[in-house]
Amino acid sequence: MQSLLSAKLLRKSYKVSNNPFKQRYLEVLKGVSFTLSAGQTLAVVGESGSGKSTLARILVGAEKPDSGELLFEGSNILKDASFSWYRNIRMIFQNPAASLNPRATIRQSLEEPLINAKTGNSQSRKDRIAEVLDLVGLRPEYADRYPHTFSGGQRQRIAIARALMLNPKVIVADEPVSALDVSVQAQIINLLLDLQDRLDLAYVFISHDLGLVQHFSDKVLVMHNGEQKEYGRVGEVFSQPQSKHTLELLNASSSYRRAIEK
Amino acid sequence: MSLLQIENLNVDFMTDDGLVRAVDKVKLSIDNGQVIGVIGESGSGKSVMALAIAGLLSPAARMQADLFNLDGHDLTRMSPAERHKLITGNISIIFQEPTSSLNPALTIGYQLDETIRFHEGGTTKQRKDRALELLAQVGIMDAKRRYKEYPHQLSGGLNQRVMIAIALACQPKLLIADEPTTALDVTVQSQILDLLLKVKEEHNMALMLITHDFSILAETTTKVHVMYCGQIVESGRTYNLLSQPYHPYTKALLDSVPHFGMRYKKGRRLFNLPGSTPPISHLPVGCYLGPRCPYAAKKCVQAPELFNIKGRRVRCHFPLIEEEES
Repeated sequence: MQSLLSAKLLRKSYKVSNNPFKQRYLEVLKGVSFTLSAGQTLAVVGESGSGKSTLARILVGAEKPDSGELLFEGSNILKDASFSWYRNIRMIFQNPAASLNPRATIRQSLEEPLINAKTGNSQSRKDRIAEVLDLVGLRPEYADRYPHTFSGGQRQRIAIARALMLNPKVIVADEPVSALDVSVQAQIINLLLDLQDRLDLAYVFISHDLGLVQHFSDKVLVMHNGEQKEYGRVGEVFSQPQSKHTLELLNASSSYRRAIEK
Repeated sequence: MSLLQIENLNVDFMTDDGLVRAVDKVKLSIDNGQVIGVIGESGSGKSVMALAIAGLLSPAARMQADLFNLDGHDLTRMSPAERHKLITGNISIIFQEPTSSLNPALTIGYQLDETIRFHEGGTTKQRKDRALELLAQVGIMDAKRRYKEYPHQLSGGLNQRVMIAIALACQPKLLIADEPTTALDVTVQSQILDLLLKVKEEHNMALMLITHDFSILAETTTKVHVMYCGQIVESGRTYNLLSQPYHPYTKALLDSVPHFGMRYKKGRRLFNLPGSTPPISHLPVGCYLGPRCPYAAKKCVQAPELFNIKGRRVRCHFPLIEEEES
């Protein structure tokens, strides 16, 4: 089966000194590779500063890697000057309060990707907004309200709706639930699972909650200091961790089971 | 004898919407050396309760309690100055975000010194020795170097260690940790928790851990209070409460998080409560959980009282006990 999205040895470094005689670079990604098929979920775990978010930004085209290939449906999208693949890879951010423009109505926020992609007329855009709002479990009338009138969970639903506007095939979710309350977290996770079933979406799911990762994803990629430490199916990686860093992460979060089994 | 005993603690805030009750009839007791946990979502009043106990409420808040005993002294009958003295000598508090609770313009050493000067005094030399000793106690390796550094030069985990060192400076009998690990990485989180338990043993302090993460409570505490909308809805021994929650809210909280190491089938939906926590200025009539509760019935329009049942306290008309027996 052909994979939907695959990365080969992505590398990225940032210049940390502006002195032209003493150029220093900070390597943020040191060769990351993975493959992802439609309907699958890849979890990226690691401590802060391990390069998870940089990887996410590369996937949605906000950053260019120094070297490596990023194949979407077989073609290298890093070389694609027309930039048309961006409709297929969209992103959800961690904090829904900060990712929606407070001065724009929900309709304006949701319409923007459609206008940028030059699709449809105003009537078809309106229909699409109503359709997607319905898909994420919100009422279409909400479109004329402003973000501050919604709760955190509802705002995250709106952010998901915005990511879905262009019918993407891959959604990159950068800690989509860690800013939410526990009981609302479950609603959003269930929504993401429902959407995956209905639309056959692939997720790249960045998280530090291993319980959630185990529940939610098929594959997992463990990162440490920009290096890819481990990559494989969730069951295999978590039951037989090969690297020290995976083991550390596991030990730090398995306390609940230990306490219950005592 | 218990170190801290509180009955019917209320905290009200004056707002534009009128008087809002952030903490409602909270009953707590902590013994010497005990570790208790308080869990709840954001807006459940757990932090306000902690601030009330530590005497750090803003002037806009009004606090009253039927009983507020600390170490055998009745705080409700004291003058503010006496109360202040007793609380500062016995209760320390550490906050969620270590980097923002330290002053960025002052060195670690100065900020430690400030606290030691207030509590113990002594010569400059004595104070510095004490500060270095405290830093060593919380596991900071090169204390001499760190003493001269600023908070931005330290990582989040180290800053939290410094916060703990400052909290220990007065040799408190009760340490309140308000989400001490939420802002930290998972691996650092377990180090900080281990450290808290270690200093708790060494100093024979009581520890009150406020969090929204059950897995933290499961490993560390002996007793847990669950808060929702300013009220304690359930409290009991940690193991019993986590393995068999009686209150629907506790059950919902436990079920809505996939716990690591438990077996789940991929694609199984998580249990979730509909809606979100109501703002405390617009609480529903009767049981505050009522509109979201899957077990709600007609009786739930009357506010339930906290009652004792099998060694636990539950605030619900229909605790989930019958089902487990049948």
